[in-house]
Amino acid sequence: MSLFLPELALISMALVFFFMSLGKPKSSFLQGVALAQAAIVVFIALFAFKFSCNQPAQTMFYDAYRVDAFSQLFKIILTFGLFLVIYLGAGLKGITDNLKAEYYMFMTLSVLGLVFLSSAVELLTIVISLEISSFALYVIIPFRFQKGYRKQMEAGIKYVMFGAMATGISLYGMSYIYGMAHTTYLNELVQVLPGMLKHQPAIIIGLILMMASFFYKLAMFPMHFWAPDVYEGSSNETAGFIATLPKVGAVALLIRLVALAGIEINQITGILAIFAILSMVVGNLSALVQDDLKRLLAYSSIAHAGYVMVAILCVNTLGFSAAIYYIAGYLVMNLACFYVIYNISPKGENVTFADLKGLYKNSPMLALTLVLGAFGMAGIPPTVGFFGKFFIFTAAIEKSLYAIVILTVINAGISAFYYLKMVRAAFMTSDEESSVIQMDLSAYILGLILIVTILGIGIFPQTFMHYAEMAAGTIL
Amino acid sequence: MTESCLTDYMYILLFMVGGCLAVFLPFVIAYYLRPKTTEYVRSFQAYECGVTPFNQMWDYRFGVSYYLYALIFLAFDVDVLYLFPVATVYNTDVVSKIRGISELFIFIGILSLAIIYAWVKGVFKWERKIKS
Repeated sequence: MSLFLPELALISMALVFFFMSLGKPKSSFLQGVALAQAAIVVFIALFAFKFSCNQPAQTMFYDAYRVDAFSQLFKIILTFGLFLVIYLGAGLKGITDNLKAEYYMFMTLSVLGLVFLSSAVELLTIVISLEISSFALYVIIPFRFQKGYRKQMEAGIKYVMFGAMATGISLYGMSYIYGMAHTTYLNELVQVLPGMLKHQPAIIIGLILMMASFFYKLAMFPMHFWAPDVYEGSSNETAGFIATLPKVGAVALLIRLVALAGIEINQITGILAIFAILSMVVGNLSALVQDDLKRLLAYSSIAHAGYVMVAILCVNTLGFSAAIYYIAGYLVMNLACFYVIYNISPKGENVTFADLKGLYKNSPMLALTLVLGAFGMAGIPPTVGFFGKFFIFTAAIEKSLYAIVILTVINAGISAFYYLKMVRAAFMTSDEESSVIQMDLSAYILGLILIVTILGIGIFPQTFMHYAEMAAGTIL
Repeated sequence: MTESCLTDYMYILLFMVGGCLAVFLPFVIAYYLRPKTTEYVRSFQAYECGVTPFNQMWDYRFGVSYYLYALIFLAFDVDVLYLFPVATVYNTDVVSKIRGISELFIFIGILSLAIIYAWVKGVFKWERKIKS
């Protein structure tokens, strides 16, 4: 029972919001309830991690659900991310008024699906958890409300259509794997797949196709095209959610799936490397010319998916723990950028570079957060982004994947340009007289939390890496 | 081995021929037995009698209320499908009676929240949802 506690807490949180959606609760009351419950869920997840930390992995639901240090660590990251996203979207400026309770409910359900995903070790369970998390997201994109703005419908439809296609491809790949290995359980697959890879090329096609829907969630190269349009069309708080949490879940599952292929360098590694590099190149080069900040962050997330993939395809403990570290850091850095975007736009409209001008004077706090977020994503030292990239390169060099490391370094250099462009825009004086951005105390506190987290995990990475290595150890 | 295999296939062939006959023979019989009818303009319309149809279906808009009813119906229609797995394993050594019935009730209970939501939001009040 205590193994399933974080999930139960999330389910009850969703139920609470369901019953609140029947009435007409005030926005501030809703926000308070959401924050309190999210905090409780984070504490429960921490407790659950401590509980299963040094324990052997335990399975539930006829072995389809595995609770180990790996899944529990991801549950902490996911629930903490939910807490931050709820905190960030104070007042839900961009959401239709009478749908706010439903918005929180679907957000909780989406995280619930991702939490299931991090524990799922059976192919059908994986598909169902993925769909729980996706369906909730499909629904909340058109919730955006801004007078005269209609692009959210386009974004919602695109997300549904491409998502359905990705799931279809994934299921097709699973049918290959089931047809050849005669099992849907990952712990049985891991025993037969490495041997089959040598003799049956079809299993490679199956594995890659199966990963398609996780590439989609992660916005990686062959499945990346939805990201800019969806980010642009969805409201700022929704975009902050889509940009971070589903990616954490996708990384959790990709680690489990890539580990299936065995630790040796094989064809799968090669294909993933090509995807990773193309993802970085496409993401970084397209981001250079963007003006809308959310579109820019979308392309940057495509590039970051490539970096994480480099860590995953190393298939060693350091690589996996680097992926966990990097995606956790990416969550905080990206949320820092969305925190700035959310607070700059008074009515929840999209933010361009022109809106950033004079930010250092209008709101030093936002400017500082933006600087740390952008520096982090560019990989400049004291932040979490630097050590994330450092660990990724170390892991790749340990496997002597020098070509990939060189290409990744070049890409990191390109990406620094547009991240620093954001910083430059924030520190330019604006021509016209601009007003000071009003923020209440809680928004300041959130900014401080983000700054402290980015610097804290960045300066003292060993604690987090210790837990990440322990978690990755349960996979290999 | 191979002979018995072949005879088994012969049975299948026999059944296929029998199946085709059972399907298409009635058409042939009906063709010869039917009275000869005269064809006129309305023979090729969906309804041969009654009011003369006019225009196409997609020229008209229906109240969105029908659509909402259909959605609610669908939720419970599909729900029946998910009761079959419970019924097949009910009271076996995999799933005990108590567990089966309680999981069933949890499932139906969560599904009926959809009805409560629709009820509170006024889906069942029949009124014009779109002002034209």
